[in-house]
Amino acid sequence: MVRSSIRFKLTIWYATAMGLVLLVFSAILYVTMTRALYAEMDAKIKTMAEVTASSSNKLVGHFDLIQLESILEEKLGFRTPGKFIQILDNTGSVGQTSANLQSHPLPITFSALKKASNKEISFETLYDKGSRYPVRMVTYPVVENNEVVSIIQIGTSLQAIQETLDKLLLILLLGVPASLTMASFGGWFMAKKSLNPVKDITTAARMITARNLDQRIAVANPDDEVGMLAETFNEMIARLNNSFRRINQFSSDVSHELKTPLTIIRGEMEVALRSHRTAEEYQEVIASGLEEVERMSIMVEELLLLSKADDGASMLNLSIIPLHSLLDTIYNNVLALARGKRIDITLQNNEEVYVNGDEMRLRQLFLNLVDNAIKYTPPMGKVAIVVTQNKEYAHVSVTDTGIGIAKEDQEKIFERFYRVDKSRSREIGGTGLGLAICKKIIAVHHGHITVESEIGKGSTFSVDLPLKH
Amino acid sequence: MRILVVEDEKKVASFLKMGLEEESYAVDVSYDGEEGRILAETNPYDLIILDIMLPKKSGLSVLRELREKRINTPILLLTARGTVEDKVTGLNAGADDYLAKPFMFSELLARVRSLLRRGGEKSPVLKFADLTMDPVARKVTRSGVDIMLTSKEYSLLDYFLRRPNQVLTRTMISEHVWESDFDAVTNVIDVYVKHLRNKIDKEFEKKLIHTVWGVGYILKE
Repeated sequence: MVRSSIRFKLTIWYATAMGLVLLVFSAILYVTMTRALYAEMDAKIKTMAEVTASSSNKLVGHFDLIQLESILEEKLGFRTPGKFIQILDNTGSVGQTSANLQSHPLPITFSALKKASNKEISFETLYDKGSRYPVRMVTYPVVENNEVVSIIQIGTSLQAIQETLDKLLLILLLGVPASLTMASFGGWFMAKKSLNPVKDITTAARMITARNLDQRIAVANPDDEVGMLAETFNEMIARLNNSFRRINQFSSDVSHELKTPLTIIRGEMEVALRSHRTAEEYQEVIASGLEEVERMSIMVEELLLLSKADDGASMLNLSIIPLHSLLDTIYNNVLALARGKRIDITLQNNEEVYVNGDEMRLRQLFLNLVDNAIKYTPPMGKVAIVVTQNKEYAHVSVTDTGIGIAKEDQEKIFERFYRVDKSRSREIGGTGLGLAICKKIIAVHHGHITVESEIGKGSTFSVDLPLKH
Repeated sequence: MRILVVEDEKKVASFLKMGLEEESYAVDVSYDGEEGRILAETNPYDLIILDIMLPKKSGLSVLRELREKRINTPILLLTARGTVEDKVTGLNAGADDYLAKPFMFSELLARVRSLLRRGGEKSPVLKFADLTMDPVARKVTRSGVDIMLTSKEYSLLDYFLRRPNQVLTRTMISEHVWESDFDAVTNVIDVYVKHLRNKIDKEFEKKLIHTVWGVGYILKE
């Protein structure tokens, strides 16, 4: 048993709450019971006083308590054991008393007398050192012609009530701790039972590491809280699994992509060193190695960019960008390249379009798209850049009459290192990251990119960017 | 010894060809799996160096297809993926050896020599009578006397030494010592054999290379 365990805490809380409830319940029960018993007793002695009063009227002068008792018995229909009767005159002097009071009259309190002289009935509980049980007494004024003629005091031992209350107290004193103990054990087992699935989840979760993320926790009841917890766990594991797989795929891609240039550099240099070469041959090897080093630097640079972009918009340096003039600059930059391949490139930007964005990234994005269009379009082809806008978005499309992209490749071209044609792409100088970067740039600008293409006919890349507000 | 290199990365294929040729191997290059398979099926190569990631047809499919057609040429797989699973898959598919990129060229050469040795002579040094050839040191001696050979002469002698006491036709020699673009009709083979004989037989009483008239040549005592 661990003191900090939920099971222990639950049991403690449960026992405390249960104990408090039982205490309050016992207190209320005891107090109510006491009051009810006293009220019953008071009613009883008051009735006795009334009967005595009416009898005393008849018996004025020769008051006979023996007779009175028989009257009481007759009127009330029962015997009143342990009762004391005492009749006072209107000044409070003791007149007649019942036999059991001969040596020991009922005490007369000032407040009771005062109330009686005011024609009020009062009740008192008398504690006497001599007897074990207190006495409940009523002081009852007998009124005639609106004057107090005598005062009747009737007392009754509280023995019966007290014994009842003592019994009740005993039951409560024994019963409350007993039921509390039982409830605590019950709570301990209940907590165990309801926490068992949590324990199962803990065990299962402990077994799951980066190596076996395919495993799932068994869900007994998917609708209860623990079931929901288990399902949430499972969803989290699935997400972890997914990102682990992506990371693994990505790092294996990266290592593969870096291995090719490394193989080339190492192999060419090693072969070159195996015998004496001419200066030209050495230059060739060095130039080729340099080319590969450059390729690797670009790739590392681009990977860094992508991983920065994964952090979100933090990479952005936002300002209001005139998209029409940005594309105009790009158009002028690539004009020579396009002419070199005898590709007819056009730009259509009739209106001013402003977006909120990072100028460098957007330049990179469109340069990438236009550059791709030129690369994959054979000589004598056409590349068209069109800028338009609607209420919400700036729309840029780059259309070419190039080789096109097969349907099954269209979704994958935005993935890192995905190449439709590996060898062609390497010859052209691609790292396989260009479109992944484009997609990332658009994503951090809250835009979207789509591609439409047909093999042999050409491709259209469409970019939507939110207009500045 | 004639080697086929199937590798789509042109620069890798190019340095492999250059380095292997400098070791006196005849090297053909193919840049895709489909062409590589056809070359391997139609030419009697002594060794195939096969990349796994290839356009048109993966190296593993090429490997399986060749083995299904009972083409038992030793195959050395090259790949950028070097996990144990990859190696197991490759070797189970019928490859003889496996080399992960980026590899050391000297290691590749050592494996090439080892693969060419398999099936026959296990000693790294080839011997016939008093003639010895050490492929690692590229040293040829006869009765302890060093003999300097050109690259082609060396390849030719290498081929003779690996098939002693067998008649080797001019076609066989051209197929194993020269690349596929070599025109076997010419008398280049006879010229090279004559050069080789001048170097290894002329000074010695016992001749080792003999002409089999109308057929070719034989290495015998």
